[in-house]
Amino acid sequence: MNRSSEERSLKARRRFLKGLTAGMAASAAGVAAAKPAKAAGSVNPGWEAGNPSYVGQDGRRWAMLIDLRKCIGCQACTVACKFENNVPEGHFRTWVPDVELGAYPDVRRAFLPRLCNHCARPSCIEVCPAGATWQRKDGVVEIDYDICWGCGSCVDACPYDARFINPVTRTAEKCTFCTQRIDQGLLPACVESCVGGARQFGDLNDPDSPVSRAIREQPVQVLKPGTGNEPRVFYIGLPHSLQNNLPGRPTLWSEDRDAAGTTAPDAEWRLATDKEAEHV
Amino acid sequence: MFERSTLPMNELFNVVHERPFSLLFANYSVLLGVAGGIAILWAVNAWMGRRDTPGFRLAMPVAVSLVLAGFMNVLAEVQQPGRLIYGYIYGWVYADTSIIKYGITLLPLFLALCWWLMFQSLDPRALADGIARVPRPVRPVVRFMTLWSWRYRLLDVPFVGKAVLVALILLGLFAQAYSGIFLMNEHGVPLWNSPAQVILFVLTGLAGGAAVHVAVIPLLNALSTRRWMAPGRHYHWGMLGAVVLAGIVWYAWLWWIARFGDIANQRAAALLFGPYFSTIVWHTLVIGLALPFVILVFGGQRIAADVLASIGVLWGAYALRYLILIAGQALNRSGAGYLDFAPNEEVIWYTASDALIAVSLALLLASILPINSNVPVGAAKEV
Repeated sequence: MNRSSEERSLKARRRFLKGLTAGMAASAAGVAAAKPAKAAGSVNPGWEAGNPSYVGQDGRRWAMLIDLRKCIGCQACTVACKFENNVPEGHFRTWVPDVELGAYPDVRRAFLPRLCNHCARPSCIEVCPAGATWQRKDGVVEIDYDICWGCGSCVDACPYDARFINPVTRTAEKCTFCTQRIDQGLLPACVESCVGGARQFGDLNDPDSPVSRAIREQPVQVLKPGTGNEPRVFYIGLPHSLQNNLPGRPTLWSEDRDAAGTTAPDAEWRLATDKEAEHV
Repeated sequence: MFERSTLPMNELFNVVHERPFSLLFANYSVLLGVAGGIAILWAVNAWMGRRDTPGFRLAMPVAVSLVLAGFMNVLAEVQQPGRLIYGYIYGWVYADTSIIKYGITLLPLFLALCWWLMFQSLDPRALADGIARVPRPVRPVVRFMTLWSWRYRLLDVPFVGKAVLVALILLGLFAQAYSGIFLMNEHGVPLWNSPAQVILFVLTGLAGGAAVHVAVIPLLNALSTRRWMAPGRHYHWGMLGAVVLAGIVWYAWLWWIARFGDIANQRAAALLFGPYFSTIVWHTLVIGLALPFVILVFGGQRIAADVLASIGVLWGAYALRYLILIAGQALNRSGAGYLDFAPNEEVIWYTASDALIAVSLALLLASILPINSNVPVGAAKEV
């Protein structure tokens, strides 16, 4: 390589490095300038826009109280929820497990209505990479189905198995306390349909609400208190053996679905049964 | 095992939601982990001055192939991949807890750096000659794709070169640790809420990276240059060290959860030491750890022995991720028992496709890049 071509090459390299440096400086400046804007739009676009259905009702803290002594396991709440929220087949926003407790001859039956616990410290929100799930000012944990990309991170972050991936919308889904109803002054569909009056819904910030009064006057329990999530679904008469992980054998609805072939082609997870399941 | 008659009659009629992660998670975990290992070892080689060998020049194309195949798994697993853009726009208030926020920014950066270094590790003059042979209409595109690497070689610049290598090591470590941290943040699965799997993923990623340097890169070199290249001995010792440490961490962790874990971890231990015990023994202990260890220690550092150990290490790295993923999700949070994982056809199809993409891309890059050029470097050339 002769001298002139070396000089040309050197100049070209300098030009490139200058360009690179200028580009990096411009990028850094751009990032710095964009930071306040990013912070402003960081939770969720609906929240930032002040949309009432995203922000919720300021000053309230919705909660549910379930009196297990009154639950008869009729599944009216399960059905009402499915109708109200158009929950796809094989998935549930609320459901009522049917449990037999104890060993023969000392056996009794219990029902344990389940739903999203709308925790004070929801672990599902913290892992969402897109701001698709957030907590309204009234404590309801919501999902933006137009933002969620269905990564499944929140599904595994929930200790209560409350979330699932909706196979139709291909986004995460769960109970929302029927915000479309409570924002209109109505009760959630499950509470409205509870024939035994086992489910009560109310504002924890209102000392005269039925939920606040019941919590004040009676011993209440929550599911999995050790998780630190501080759930806002309370139970009366929750047996200690149901509070955390249950011993026993899982059955039967998913198995029935598999047997019917309704979900078999897409089913990746099946229930282990019999001897295998006894290990855990 | 309890006798049936002494068991409580607990019978749960329950709803169980399907778990979101499948084989595809294990796939991208191992692909990115091994790519991170390759990149870290490449950076160490570059730092130590072990450059300008075909093996050095082939490492980055393999890393790029693995990262791209890993990304395909992510896109296949996410339900709405078109919405990934929202990760860059919204939800930044949770940047301290959502590892995906870092994944979507740093992992593409890792890919871009590996891509750039793939050309930086080539001889600039050979690269320039190669570009000159490309048809004129597409030449500007090729120049851009090489990031004009025939003109400069930043690795030769003392301070800048070292800074690039440090950046590569940090991003490689992140690529290895990412899926482990991801699982660690999943609060609903107590088995995963441990840094042990992050350490395990990093160690097995490093061992896997060394295994690729020992077994895959010489093979690629032989296919593209028709010459056999003996891998450096340092990979042998690196792989052995990583395997020993991974074995210690893996079994110490299992012992800890069985001995001191809370009720959820005890259930996980019951699963791992119950139905999954034979899988653990065969795939992680025998094939993934013990066999490579014995071969590496007593194999006399023969190439064939090291290649065999490498296959075991790669198998073990995958099996370990698969087991941790499955064992965590198998515990049913709705109640009793556990779920049984059976990969469906779609997942198997994606897995096979990704393996094909990784292999074919590595072969393509090895065949079109001038990896065999030993022309002294340092001179840039105008094309």
